[in-house]
Amino acid sequence: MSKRETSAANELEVNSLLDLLQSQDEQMRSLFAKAINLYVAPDADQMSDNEKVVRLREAIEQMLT
Amino acid sequence: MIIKELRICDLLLFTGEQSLQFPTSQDTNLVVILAPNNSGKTNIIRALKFLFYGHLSDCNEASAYRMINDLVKTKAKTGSEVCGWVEATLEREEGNLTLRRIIRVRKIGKDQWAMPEITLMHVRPKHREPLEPDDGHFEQKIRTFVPEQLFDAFYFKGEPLDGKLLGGVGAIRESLAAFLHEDGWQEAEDAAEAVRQQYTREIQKLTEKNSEYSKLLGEEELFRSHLLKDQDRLGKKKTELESVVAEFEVVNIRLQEIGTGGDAENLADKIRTARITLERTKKNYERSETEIARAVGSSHGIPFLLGALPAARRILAQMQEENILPADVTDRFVARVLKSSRCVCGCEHTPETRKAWERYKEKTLSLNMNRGLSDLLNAVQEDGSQSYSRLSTDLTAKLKQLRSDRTRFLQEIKQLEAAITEMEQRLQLSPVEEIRRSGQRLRQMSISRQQLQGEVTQLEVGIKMVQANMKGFKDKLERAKPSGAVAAKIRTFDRGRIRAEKLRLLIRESRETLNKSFHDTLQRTVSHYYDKAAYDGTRARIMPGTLLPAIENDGHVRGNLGGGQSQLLALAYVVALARLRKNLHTQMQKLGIGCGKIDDQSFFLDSPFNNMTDHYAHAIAQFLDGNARQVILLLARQQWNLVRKIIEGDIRQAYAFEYHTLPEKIAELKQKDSKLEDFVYEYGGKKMKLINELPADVGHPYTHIRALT
Repeated sequence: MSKRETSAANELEVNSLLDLLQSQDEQMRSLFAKAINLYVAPDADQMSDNEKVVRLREAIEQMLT
Repeated sequence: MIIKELRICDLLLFTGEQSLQFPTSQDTNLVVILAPNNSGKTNIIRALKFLFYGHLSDCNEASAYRMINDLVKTKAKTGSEVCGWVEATLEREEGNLTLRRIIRVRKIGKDQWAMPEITLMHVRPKHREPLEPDDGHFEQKIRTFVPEQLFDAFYFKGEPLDGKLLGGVGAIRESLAAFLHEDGWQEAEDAAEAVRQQYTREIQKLTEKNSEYSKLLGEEELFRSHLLKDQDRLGKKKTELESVVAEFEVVNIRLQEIGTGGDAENLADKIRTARITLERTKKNYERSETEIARAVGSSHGIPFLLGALPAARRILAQMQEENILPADVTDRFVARVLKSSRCVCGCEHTPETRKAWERYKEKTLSLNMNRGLSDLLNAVQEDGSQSYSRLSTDLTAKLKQLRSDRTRFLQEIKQLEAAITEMEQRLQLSPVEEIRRSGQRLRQMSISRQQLQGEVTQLEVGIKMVQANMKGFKDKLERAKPSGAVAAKIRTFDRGRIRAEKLRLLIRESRETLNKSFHDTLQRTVSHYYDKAAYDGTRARIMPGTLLPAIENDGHVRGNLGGGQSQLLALAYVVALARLRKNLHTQMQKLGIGCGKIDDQSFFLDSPFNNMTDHYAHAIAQFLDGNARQVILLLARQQWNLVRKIIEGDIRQAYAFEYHTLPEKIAELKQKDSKLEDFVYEYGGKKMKLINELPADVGHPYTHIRALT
């Protein structure tokens, strides 16, 4: 086997996810990122579940105004 | 997480402050630590785990004092405090990060220790002092770099990885979920649903007085909850169906590859013929057994009598000497001799000659004696009609023949059985058998596919009906909705509800897309690593549902194979996961999702070449050397000798663990290995012995880390 191979085989391709998000409007993309960040960011554990739902609702309401 | 330096002080087997530097400048940096058994290979992994998480599975907070080196503890006086620590410098883009985990404990009596104090400290660069206690920030960082569930995969302690990966789903599945932040995505989806329900409840509250609207809204929610459940089930069934279709394709392609039978058909014919011959030989064998039993039964004990014949011959000879053997003379002849004045020899009778004739008449001519002796003579004579010897000779010859036949049949049976087994094994591997098995599998999968397809269609039809009903609800709700100020508020809440639902669906779809993409890339990467090195035609396969690896042969997923394939697969999988994890986080950042930055991963592998063939040991050595940025191999002599020639030239840094132990322990080791060759290692063309007697004033074994140049 050859030395460290930098073949595309190793690269995670998330084009399909990218396409899916690109098909959304800007507001929706932003809301999506906010929602995911609330739960997967490294400091996500520091906020209670209730607080996260409140933040998510606030983000949704910001979009409605 | 790449480690630049590891320092240990008075911890486990390591006395004083000792360090290991790990080069990091190249694409692949291989470090070897040569260490005899029990000299501290596993200690290094344990120390790392303790540094990262502050605890070990076999060492709770109260018993953590055991981590401190025994020599240090022995020297401690009651009331005094002892400490040990492990420290690592981690390579970070923003600058190196040095963290130290310290354990301090006070001695409160003989073998009694207070509750230890365990702390994580941030060590300032350059001077390595002063230390700053961590407020949780670095603890959190480490857990992001290496989640605890993944520790055993990246830093493993000698036990085969295959069992963990290929057999058990638990830990690795959890780790994968952590990789993909599955919980987080699910929670985000649930949160979107929670927000939607909040809006719904608020609308219900606003419309309490409008019973028709309120009732319709309640019914719509009920339909919706059924719809969500059905959609969940549909998702699962579709995944199952995809998995079956994918497997069907693999088997189908394999079938096309192998084509038709050929030699295997001949093999099957040969097996059939051999089986017929085997049956016939078995019958012959049974027949010879029966004949032997019959012959022995018909001997009437002759073989036993034969043993007595030599003695009988001696007795007869004596009787002959005494002239009392049966003769052709009769009673009347003896009576005539006795009546006569002379004996048959012509001499005058004397009292002795008369007595001898009387005795002859009485003994030799008695009917019973004569008959018995006649029989006996007959029996011992080789050519008599009743000769036991002759009968015995015949019987012995017959038995010999029968026994020889039986042995021959038995040998033939064994040879035939071995030949049939060997041919069956060849047939198992042969295309015809594979075609047969694959055909069977295809039929099973075809049935499963049809069933699943039916279930999917049924669920889809059901879902469409519910969706149509719900559309009807929307129209009815629109018609029944209140007017005025309440209507404006309902409109606002309804917009929120729609937006929350749209978000929920987007999160779900994104997660499914990501999972599929991750599966495809993982499959590609693991295949790329594994398939080249596996010389037996097996292939790596990532199971679609669980994302766990498996070995596939001829379109069938194999169990836990021995010899090294499983370990190679496990390592390929772990290395692929580490790289994809880093890649995933980078991609997520591009999408505006801050999962935290992940660096390259280091691998500490204690004895990774256990229980495998040379081929796979070599394949793994080459794979590790070429595909991970930092690999630290901890090897005992046997494993080092196995891979030395392959990796020695690529090693960037080597260390040796010199084990110092008690003289009695060395004497005990010498009983099994008089020259202590298990402790002799060859590196750089030189030999070194990695075991020493403890100095006179030291009572506990310890390990000294020596850098090799």
